Amino acid sequence: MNASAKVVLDKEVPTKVVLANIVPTKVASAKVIPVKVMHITSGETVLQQQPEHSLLVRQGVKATILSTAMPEQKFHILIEEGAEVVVCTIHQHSTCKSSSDVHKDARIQWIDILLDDSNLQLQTNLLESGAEVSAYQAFLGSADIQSDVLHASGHTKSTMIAKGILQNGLGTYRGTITIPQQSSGCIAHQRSDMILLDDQSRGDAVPILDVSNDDVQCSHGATLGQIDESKIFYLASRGFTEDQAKKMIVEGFLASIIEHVPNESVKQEIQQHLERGLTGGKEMRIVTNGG
Amino acid sequence: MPEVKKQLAGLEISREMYDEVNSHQAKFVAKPGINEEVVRLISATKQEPQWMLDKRLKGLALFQDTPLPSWGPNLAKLDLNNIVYFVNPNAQEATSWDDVPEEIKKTFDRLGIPEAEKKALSGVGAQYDSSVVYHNIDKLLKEKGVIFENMDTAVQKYPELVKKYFMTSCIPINDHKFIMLHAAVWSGGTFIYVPKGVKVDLPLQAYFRMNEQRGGQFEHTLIIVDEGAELHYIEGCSSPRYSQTSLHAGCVELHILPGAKMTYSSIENWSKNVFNLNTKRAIVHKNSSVRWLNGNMGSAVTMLYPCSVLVGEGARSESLGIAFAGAGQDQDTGSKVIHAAPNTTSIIKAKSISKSGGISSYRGLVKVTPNAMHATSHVQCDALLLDNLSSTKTYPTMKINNNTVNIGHEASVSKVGEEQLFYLQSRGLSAEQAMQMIVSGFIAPVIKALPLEYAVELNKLIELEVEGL
Repeated sequence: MNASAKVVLDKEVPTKVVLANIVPTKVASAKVIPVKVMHITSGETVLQQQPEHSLLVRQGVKATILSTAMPEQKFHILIEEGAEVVVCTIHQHSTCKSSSDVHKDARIQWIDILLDDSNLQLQTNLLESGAEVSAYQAFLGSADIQSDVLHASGHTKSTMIAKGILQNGLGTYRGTITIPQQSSGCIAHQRSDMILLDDQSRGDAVPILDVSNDDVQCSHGATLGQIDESKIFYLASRGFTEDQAKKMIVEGFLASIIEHVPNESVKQEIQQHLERGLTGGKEMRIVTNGG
Repeated sequence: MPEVKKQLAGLEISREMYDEVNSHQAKFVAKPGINEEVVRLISATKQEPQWMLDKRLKGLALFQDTPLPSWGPNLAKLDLNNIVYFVNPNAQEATSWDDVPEEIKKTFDRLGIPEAEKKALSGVGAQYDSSVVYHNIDKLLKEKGVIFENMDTAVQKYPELVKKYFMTSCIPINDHKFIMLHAAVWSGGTFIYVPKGVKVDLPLQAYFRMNEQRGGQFEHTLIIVDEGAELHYIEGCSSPRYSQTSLHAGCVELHILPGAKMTYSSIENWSKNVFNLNTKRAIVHKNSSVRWLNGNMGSAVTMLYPCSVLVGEGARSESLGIAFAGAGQDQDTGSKVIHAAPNTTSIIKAKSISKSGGISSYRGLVKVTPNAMHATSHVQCDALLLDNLSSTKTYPTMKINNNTVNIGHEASVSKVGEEQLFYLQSRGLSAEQAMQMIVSGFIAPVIKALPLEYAVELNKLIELEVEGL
């Protein structure tokens, strides 16, 4: 791979670096450029790191970004015409602000897996026609998510799906779709589903639509509830224990988000983490080591 | 489809009938602005007991210390110092329409109230500015012990009931800024008590008319439906159109005791200079149910979020609403439900239509407390935008502190589809008929829920609206 993806490691606090400037090369357009963001820190400094990354994706490039969020980080991505980016981030005890400006016919797919009490703020600005965003989030335990999409131009499309399993924690999901008056022909759909596993859990959902144009397809939906007991009963009748049944249902519930994770080994690690989390095992920090 | 756009421009609720100023001269009009003097004057005019005056003064003190809400529609145009807080019409409360002064009677005639009373209601109250001018109830109901009185009279006649329920457990006087104001200057309104097990078959209705320029109307409605009783109560509101702003800050408290059932219907059709900042709440006890039907057509700004607090096991709440926002209107409405007991159920359906730059918002809350096991709630709100100048906002909030629940929310925004119009036209309907059909189809699920008798007012309004197409 001779793509000129440049990764700069950040050392100073706070840092503001161009993480990667991906320019079109002779790589066939169908080829996806993989980028892995690694934060290498030593010992005690880890909690003081507040990196601010920015990434510029040039015309027509396709890239996949895989990273583990720092305890506090900011990430800004600018996507030029026709480029496509998948950004997959694993969050553990982190507070993360990510934003993206998406230009003509460009696409961004956010995949955020929030484990153990994480906080995520996502802002996507669809600036020119044909721009598209998909934002997928899965969360376990406790989480606070704010995901906003601004359809600054007409003929743009957004899909937001969040699924959470709340265990002994508070899950908050706020999602806003804003369609100003000049933006005709937008399609925007939003959905958030939460399962509350125990009586110590709380779930708050605030999905907001702010629409000033009549030529739109716009909807949102939200559900909160517990695992359907009839499903557990059915699985139990097939010989599974209650714990096994619950695990299967939870996995199935999150599968539609996790299947978007672009890396098999990361996917497996997430699965393992979920299992540990659900069976009350000790948590372990996930280090993305795929490539 | 420019033709359709042109048709849409004509879509406007005819307000002529309501907008006209009636010539009645009030007996007493307080000076604009609010201070202790005005509050004491209102209380003295009504010869109220000391506890009520104390309540008013406490409300006033709280009101003066509390800032305007920082969220929601812009209230900058509302000049609270320019509002007349008390207007006493030149009339005694009558029990026969013949005794109501001619000009006032004419107003209510035009609104069709006496006619409706004959046909479909078991009791009617009519309030003109700050006082109730007409009150009548079916004799049979009276014999069964049903109380239907104007609120001022109730304070004198039923002090124990009023003292127990008036702005105490349901809406306390420190609830929010406009409730504090309401507590200080409230006047008129309805008091209803339905005794245990009594079922009121035909609805009771109250009609509120605000006539004075820069007036404020602060009617208080207190309804107690005792164990196992049933009631349907209807409220209608209108006012003439002035260039200066008026304020309506009413308060509705419903106490629905175990096993009782209540339907509360209201159509608020204030003219477009009115700030309608209204508060409605129901305390719903064990195995009882409340049904809210709300239509918000008029006013410049409406902030109204009827709330059900489900405090008893098996309590149920259903809320259906239609909001129509035309040019210059901001309809900020929604429903709140607090599930505070096990096995409680709530349904919210809200429909809004915006045109000519109108803004309609759904602002709602579903809250489930930790002890409310197996609560079920479903919220659906749909918005229809008739042109590209209008906007719609949806702010549902769900706060769930219990894991045995089943909560769902859905919302959608749409316009009248050109394919739909094209299809209907290909079947031989004119553009006008097609549009009419689609708009009525959109609101049908809510309209269908209205009892036939009640359609008197809402259906008339919707017809006018759709006729204009």
